[in-house]
Amino acid sequence: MIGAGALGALGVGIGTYALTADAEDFFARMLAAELPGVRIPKATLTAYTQAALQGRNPDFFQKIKILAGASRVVGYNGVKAALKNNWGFQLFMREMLTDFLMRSDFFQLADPTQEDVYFPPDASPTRYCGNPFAQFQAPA
Amino acid sequence: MRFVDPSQIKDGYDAVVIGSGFGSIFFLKTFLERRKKARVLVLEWGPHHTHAWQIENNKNSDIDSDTAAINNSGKPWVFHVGLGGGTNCWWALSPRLHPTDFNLKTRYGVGEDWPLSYDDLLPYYREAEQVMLVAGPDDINQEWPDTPSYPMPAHNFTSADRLLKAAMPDKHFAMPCARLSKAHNGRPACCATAHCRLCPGDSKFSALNTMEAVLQDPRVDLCIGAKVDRLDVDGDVVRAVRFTSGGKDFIARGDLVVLGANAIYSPFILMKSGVGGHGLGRYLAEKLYAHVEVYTKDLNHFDGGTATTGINTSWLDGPHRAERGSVAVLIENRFAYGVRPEFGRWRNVVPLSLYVEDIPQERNGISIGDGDKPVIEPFQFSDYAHKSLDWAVANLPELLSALPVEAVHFREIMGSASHIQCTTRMGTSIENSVVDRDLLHHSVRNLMVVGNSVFPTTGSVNPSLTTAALSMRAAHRVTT
Repeated sequence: MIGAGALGALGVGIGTYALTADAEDFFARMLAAELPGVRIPKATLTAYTQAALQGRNPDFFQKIKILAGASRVVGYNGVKAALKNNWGFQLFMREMLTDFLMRSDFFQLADPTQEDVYFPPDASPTRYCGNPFAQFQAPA
Repeated sequence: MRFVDPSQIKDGYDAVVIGSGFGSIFFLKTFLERRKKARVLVLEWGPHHTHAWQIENNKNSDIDSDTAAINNSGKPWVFHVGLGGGTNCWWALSPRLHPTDFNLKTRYGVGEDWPLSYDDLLPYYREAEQVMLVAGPDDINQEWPDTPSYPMPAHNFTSADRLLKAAMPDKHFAMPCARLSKAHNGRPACCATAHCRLCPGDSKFSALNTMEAVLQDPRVDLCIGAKVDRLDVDGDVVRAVRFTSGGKDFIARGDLVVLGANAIYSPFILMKSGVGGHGLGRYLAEKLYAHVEVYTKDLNHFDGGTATTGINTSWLDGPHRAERGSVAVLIENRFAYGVRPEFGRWRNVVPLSLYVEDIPQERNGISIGDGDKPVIEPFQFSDYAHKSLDWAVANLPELLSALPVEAVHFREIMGSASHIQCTTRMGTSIENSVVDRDLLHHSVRNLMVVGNSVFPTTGSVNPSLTTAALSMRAAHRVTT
């Protein structure tokens, strides 16, 4: 017999799984569209999704849920076209894209369409952690 | 550090210092240097959280400025409550006020004159820059006279800065900032993460990493969690400081009381204490702070050596200030809105911050409400500030003509620059201000007010260095 506590825990587990699946699904579509041809393996996507969801508030999850649902129906590019004048969406998309580019090894790869992009599973919860382009000396 | 329980506090301090941010800590440094036998009590409302704690907990303090006041203003007012105050959360940008900021009224007929000049502050600017190990350029004398070599070399420019510097050598400079450009005393150089509020390497100046000698001085008693309620004022003398800690009431006494809460709490405490002066709690001001993104045709950005690399001074001063304010244009080497979204063009964007001077308005201010928390009244920037911002945005393409500009996108007016000012202004008499040029209250002569609240006008640049210099000068004067 399964107790109410266990059912509650199962419900929470399923809810969390569903949210994560929603997010991973949305990010997969977003990254495929924004980074066409770039090799993003499943493990990278999963690690990125987990990092991207860390420390987020309920509004963020709600946003992801809506975007994931909409992008399943009309595709990511359909969502983007519909929201092309929505600064909130533009900002969200740029934040997510920047987060992926900065915290993965994207900019260290010679050609990310020929090599897999790696996202560390234990990435710092600090977003945009580091600027890979920073130069500390003036050019000669 | 000598942390004391409020029940252990004795009478007879030479000074009781309220708060431990820029205004208080720089006062304390100079005061202790000049008064060898002084005993000082510091009353700090907030906690003592180490740098490691702040990083671990992803916040500077567990007292939230959002709930520390009743905010009816329509905008946020960001401040830090904790040992070290704003030195913990600031972004370390450290330019001096422009020399003309000190006599705006005389020059342009707007705002107020300060009761002291740029020259009066010069030795203290220099000293504060040395203490904070400010990194800056060696050619900034053109804009800020008598700036000797900074103690740290300037951070590396971005490519955009270099183009602007070549086009405007007298108007574009590396931004002076108190983030180390070279490792020093166990602290690393800035690593350009742009997480300055929680500087991961502790390369940004803070009271906790640079003022240990002050905070650990055996002559200083630190009382943490001590929230000052009011001062007992008898005629022209403060007799006692009343504060609460752990739900109990306490009293502290000292020959001199130095109030450096912040520009919301300092006037609140004075108003509750029945202390007067023109403009007390009024003229609440911040500069108008806006973000712009400049999309470039092919210029790759984000290649500078710190989070804010350049300051363009073209609009800092001029006759225009009779009609519209000073504007500082800052080149940001950080992903304010992320990378540019088009594939492969991620770096073809230069984020800018515009710092726009406002003329403090008497209509803006705080009130004491039921006495528990300050009430921040409905707030409006002046038309002067809005006009300045509109003009600046419209004229950015011309200013930036040395860059391959594709488009200029105004993004938003930010909620708060965390530069809360002008609520206990300094001036020449109690009819026009609260404190005098030495930061002493006009009538209560053993009461000093330090911090951004004493600014008569805002200027357009960051205030913290000026606050530090004012406090050092005041400590020098009161011990002379």
